[in-house]
Amino acid sequence: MKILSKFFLLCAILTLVSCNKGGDDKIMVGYFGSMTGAEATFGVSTRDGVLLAIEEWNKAGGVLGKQIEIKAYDNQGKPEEARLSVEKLINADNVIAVLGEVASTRSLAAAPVAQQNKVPMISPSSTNPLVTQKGDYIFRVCFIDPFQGEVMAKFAFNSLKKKKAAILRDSKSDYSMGLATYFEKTFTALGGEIVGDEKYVSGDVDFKAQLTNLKSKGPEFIFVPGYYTEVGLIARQAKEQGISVPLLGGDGWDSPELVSIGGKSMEGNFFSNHYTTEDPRPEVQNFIKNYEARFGSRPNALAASGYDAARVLFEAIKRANSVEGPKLRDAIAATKEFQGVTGIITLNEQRDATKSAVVLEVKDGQFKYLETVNP
Amino acid sequence: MSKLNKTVLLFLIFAAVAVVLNFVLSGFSVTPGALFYEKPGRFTGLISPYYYSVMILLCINVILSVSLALLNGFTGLFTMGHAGFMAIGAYTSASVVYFLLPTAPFFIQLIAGALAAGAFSGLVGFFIGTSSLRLNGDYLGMVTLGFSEIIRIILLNIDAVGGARGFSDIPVYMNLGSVLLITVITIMVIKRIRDGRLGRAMLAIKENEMAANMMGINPLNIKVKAFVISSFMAGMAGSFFAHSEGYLSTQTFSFAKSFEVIAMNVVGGLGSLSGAIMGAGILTVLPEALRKVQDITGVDLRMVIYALTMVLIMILRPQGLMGNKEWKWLSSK
Repeated sequence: MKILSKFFLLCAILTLVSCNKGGDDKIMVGYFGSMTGAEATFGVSTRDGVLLAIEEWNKAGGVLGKQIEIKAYDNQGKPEEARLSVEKLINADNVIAVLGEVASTRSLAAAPVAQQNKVPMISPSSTNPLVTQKGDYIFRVCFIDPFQGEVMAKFAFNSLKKKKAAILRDSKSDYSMGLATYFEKTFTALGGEIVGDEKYVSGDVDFKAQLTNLKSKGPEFIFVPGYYTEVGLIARQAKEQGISVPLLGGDGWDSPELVSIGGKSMEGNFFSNHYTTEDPRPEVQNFIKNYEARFGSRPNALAASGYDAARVLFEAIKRANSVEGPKLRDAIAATKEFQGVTGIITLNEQRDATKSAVVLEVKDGQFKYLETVNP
Repeated sequence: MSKLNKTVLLFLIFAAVAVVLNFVLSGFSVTPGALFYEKPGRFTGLISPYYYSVMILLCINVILSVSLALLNGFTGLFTMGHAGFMAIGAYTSASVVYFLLPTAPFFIQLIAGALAAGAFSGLVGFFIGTSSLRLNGDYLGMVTLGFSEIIRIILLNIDAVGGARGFSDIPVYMNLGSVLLITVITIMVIKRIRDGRLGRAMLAIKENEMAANMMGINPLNIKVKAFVISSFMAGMAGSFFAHSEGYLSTQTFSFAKSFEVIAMNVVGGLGSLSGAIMGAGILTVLPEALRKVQDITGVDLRMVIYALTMVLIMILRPQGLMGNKEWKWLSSK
C-alpha cells in the first residue's frame, strides 16, 4: 500500500513539474489534432502536412533567423481534450500560435482559449461558419460550407450551360442544408431555375419516391449535397428510375467508397473539392513530390490544408517581423493572394479564406480534375 | 453543540477555505471565468491555467466516480450509463443558464444550474431505475448503456442546443474553489449514506438480495433510491463540466465516457469510496502527466503507456488499488 501511495504521489508531482519554456533561438508553434481515436487519420495527415512545411522552412533558414519547432498534442477526438491541450500549449509550452483542428466541434471547443489568451489559431479544415466567429484571433485556410454551393451553381450555369436544376438535400445535416441554400441563391441569381426540391434524411436507403417526383419535373441536372454513402445509393436508384441527367455535389462525396457504392451509375457526375493531385501548378506538384519522399504516401486534402495553414502562419510571422500575439494577428488577417497548395488564399474580414475550389468528374471509377472555380 | 450546528459550522469552514483557496490560486480575481485572462500571456495566480483546468476536471471526475461507486460498488447494480446522466445534467444546466438566466449573478447561475441539472437527471434516473428494476447484472448494464445512448441521440437531434454542431457560448463561471467545495460535500454525503441505514441496506442487497428481503429491506425501494441519488450527483457533475468547458458536444458523452468512469471505480477498487477517488485521480492525471514523456521519446506513446499502466494495475492488483479498504478519514469507524 505504501508503494502505491508513493506511485500516486509521483503522478501528482509529474504533473506539477515546471513548464518548459521555448528557448530564445526557437519559435514554438503548437498543433493539436486527433491522432488517436476514431478520426485518427485526419489528425495524422494534417500533422504530417504541418511537419513538412516546418522542415522546408527550417532548411531554408527558419523564420526571423530562428528555427521553428512544433509541439503536437493528441486529443483522442474529444472536445474537452482539445481544449485542455490548447490550454497546455499556450500556458505551459508558450507557443506563439496554434494550428488545428480538423473537426469543427473540436475547433469550437478550443477557440475560446486561444481567443482569451490572444494567441492566433489557424484551423486547416474546419468548414463550419461558426468557428471563426469565436473571435478575431481565430482563422481558417479552407472555404466554408456555403461557398461550395456557390461554386457548383457557377459551374453548372457557366461551364455545363444548364438552366433547370433540381435539389435533393439531407434535411438533418447542417452541411447539406448550407450547400443547398447557397446553391439555390446563386443559381437563381445567375438566371437559372429550380424546378424541384426534395429532402431525405441521412441513414435513408430508399430514395425512389423523391427521385420519381424530381424526374417528372424534367430537370437538366440534380444537385445532391450529401455524404458519399447516400449519394452512392441515390445515383444507383436514379439510373434504375431512368434518370440520365448528371448529379452534382460537394466535398462530402470525396471518398473511394463513393464509387464502390454507386458503381457504374456514378460515372459522369461532378463534385467540388478543396484540392486535387492533378493540379498542374508547380506548388502542388512540388508538394506532392516532397510529401511522398518524406512520408511515403500520397497526400490527401487534409495534409495539403495542414501544409497551407502552417505556411500562412510563417509568412505572417515574416511580414509581422514579430511573434507577439496582436501583431501576428494583424499580419495573418492581412494574408492576400497566398499561393497555397489548396488554392490561392485571401483571408476576408470574417477571417475565412476566400479561395478557389476544384471541380472533379467521376470517370472510370476515378476522380478526374476538370476545372478550377474562383470565388 | 447539536449535530445540525456542527454540520453547518463544518460547511461554513469548508466554504471559507474554498473561497480563500480560489482567491489565492487564481490571482485575486473577482470575475470568475475571466480568471487569468486580464493580462494576456501572463497569469497572476499561483498555478498555471492549464493545471487549474486539469484540477477542475479532476474534481468533476471524482464526483462522477464516487456517485457511480454508490451504484456499482455499494448496491451492486452494474450500470454502464453514467455518461447519459452527465449529459442530461450538462445540457439542462447549460440551457437553464443560457436561455433563462443569462444575466444573473454567477452564484445564482451556479446554484440554479446545478440544482436543475441534478433534479432533471435524478428524475430520469428515477424512471430508468423503476423501469429496469427486474434486471440484474449484465442485463441491467445493457439496458443502462442503451438508455445513455438514447439520451445522446435525442440531444444530437435537438437543434436548440446545437445538435451535431455542439452547444457553444455557455457562460463559464466554474472556479476551482466552488467545485472543490462541492466535491468534498459530495464525498461526505456519500460517506454518510454508506455508513447510515440506507448504506447498510445497500450493502445487504449487494451481498444477497433475497436474504436482505427476508430481513425486512425492500430491495426495490433501496435500488431506486440509489439510482436517484447517483444520477442526481452525476447530473451536477455534468453541470460543472458544462460551465467550466463553455462548450458541449454529444461526442463527449458517448459510452466511452461511461466506461472511463467504470474504469475509475475498478482501478481504485470496487466497493471502496477511497478507491473511487483514487481511481478518478489516476485516470485524470496520468494521461496529462504522460504528455511529458513525449518530450523524451519524441513519439506519442501516451495512450500506450496509459493503457499498459491500467493492464498492469489489473494484473498485479485485480481487486483494485484500494481493494475493499478505505483511507482513515473515509473509514466507517
